[in-house]
Amino acid sequence: MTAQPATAKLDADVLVIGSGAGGATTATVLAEAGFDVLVVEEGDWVEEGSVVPFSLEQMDRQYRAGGVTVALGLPSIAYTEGRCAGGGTEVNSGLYWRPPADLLQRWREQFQIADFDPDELLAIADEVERDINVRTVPGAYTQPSEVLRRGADALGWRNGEIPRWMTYPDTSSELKFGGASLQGQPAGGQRQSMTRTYLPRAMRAGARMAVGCRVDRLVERGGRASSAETTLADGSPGTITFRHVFVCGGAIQTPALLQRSGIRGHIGRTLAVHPTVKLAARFADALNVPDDVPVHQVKEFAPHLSFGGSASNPGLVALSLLDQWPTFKQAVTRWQHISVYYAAITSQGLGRVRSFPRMRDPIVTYGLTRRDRELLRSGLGRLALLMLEAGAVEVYPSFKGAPSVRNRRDLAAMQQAFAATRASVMTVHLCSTVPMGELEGRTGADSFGRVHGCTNIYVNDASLLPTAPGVNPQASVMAFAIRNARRFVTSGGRRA
Amino acid sequence: MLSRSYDSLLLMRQVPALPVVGSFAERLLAADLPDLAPARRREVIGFIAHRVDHLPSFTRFGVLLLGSVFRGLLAVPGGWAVARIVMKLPLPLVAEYPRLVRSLGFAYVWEHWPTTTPTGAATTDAAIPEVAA
Repeated sequence: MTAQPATAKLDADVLVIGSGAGGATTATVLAEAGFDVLVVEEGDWVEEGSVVPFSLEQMDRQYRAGGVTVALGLPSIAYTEGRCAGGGTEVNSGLYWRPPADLLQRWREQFQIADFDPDELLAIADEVERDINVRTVPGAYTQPSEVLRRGADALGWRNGEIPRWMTYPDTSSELKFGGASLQGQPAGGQRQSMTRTYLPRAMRAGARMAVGCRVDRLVERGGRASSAETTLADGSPGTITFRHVFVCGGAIQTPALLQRSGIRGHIGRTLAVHPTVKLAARFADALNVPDDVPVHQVKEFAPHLSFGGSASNPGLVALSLLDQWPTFKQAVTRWQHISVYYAAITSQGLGRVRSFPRMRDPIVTYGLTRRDRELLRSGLGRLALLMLEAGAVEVYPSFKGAPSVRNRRDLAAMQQAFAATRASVMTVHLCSTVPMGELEGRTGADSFGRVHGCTNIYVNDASLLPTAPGVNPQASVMAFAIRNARRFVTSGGRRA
Repeated sequence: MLSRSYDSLLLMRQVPALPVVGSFAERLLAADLPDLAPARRREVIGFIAHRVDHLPSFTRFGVLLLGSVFRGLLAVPGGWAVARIVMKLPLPLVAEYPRLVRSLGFAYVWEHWPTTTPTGAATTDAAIPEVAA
């Protein structure tokens, strides 16, 4: 069961724009409640397994702008957005982390989220975990994952395996990764992304899904939207009429669409991300896994600072050496011995998403604070130390002017040379551009995602999260989206 | 194709990237990876131009603007030497342009031909020199 190409004229009781973690769950709840639901997705439906994970081909087919998107600033921060059926859930590592209970309490109090019981949300998280089969690896870990565990254990730092939305066959066996045989990794593991879980479920309940359909603008008058102007995959225009609309395009596209539609308020002003800096670590033995990421993370300094592993195919290894290519370039010949790791921070900085009339894409900016820059510096230093403790022969930090690190004495020089403005800073966690709650001036939508000042326009994606959660946000997104969609159902679909 | 009225103010949306970024990418790759075979270099440049063509509006506008400046520099005698000096200056947005071209190019080279040497030569695993342990 897959989606159909969009046509010029469409209509639905409820239009859901975007099919990622927010859109897919929203569509499922509403379709199962009997609503006539149409999900539209700008990208294509790409079957899992038909592209190599983290490859350039995947970036072409499943990421917005081929994965080359950036928040301007000093430094600019590269980010990525999924642009395909299932959105970010199709292209990320599938690591799952439910929202911390204390954070939910803070959000409730600081943003005045009404009728919000954190326990209720965590109960929804339980459901989600069953639906998408959140579980740990049944066999042995990959070597790049073991590096994180080993280094953290040596330093006495808290670490652990992060579960993923995966199914595995019953027996563990060998799996060939780029010619390297990895003991214990179960063969045939499949990520339970939205195209394998909620989207088929929504369609079984009667939802329709149209791909290749970009929504340019909502036609809104007096706070009520009645139709959407679209552009189809062949460039021709289209129109969708509806009674209610849920905008679930993610933390960049959702505020951009609202702004293009002339909707004012606290929209796009408080982009929050988890900025990361990275390094490549070379080991005596081959360990590289080109098409998977480590499942361990180090949380000793959480929520301010976390360490984890990145995708490390040869192209990405070359990228991680690029900032200091003249002195690091020889290492690329040993890419099988190299894996890439990151230090992620919970930033105090904020970004903005701004749309301008007749511009297709928004301008995204982000400003790190001084504290953020210092945290990135100390984070990279600690991560390099962890790599040495794990047995790294040499560590290559990703910033211009970086010295390589071979022992503890080199660490001080590395940290002294670091400047965030010379580093390759990136993020994959984007949120908080239409924060939810009743607090005037700091929220763009009410406590259940309805855009302030609008009667039938809802947001139901990462944009709603009041702040960056300090962990992978997709579990939070799914839980909130289900909560809000259920409220929509129980309130009679707010039939105005 | 583009949506009906959106981006109509950005005339550069209609300008293909290859003529603008191609000559700069060629020189940059020739300097960084001098042993990359010409056919491979052309393939990499095609990929870079393709990615620039699909950048978000404003980024693409900025990249093509900077690309035009660098292209102009390369058209005059000694222009490459000047371009190399400019690339080393700590100019935030200007420095992003060569970084973008390099990033795309290097990612493509090593993803498609992982045994490439640091100078761009095609080789087999056996011919790659060891990194000092």
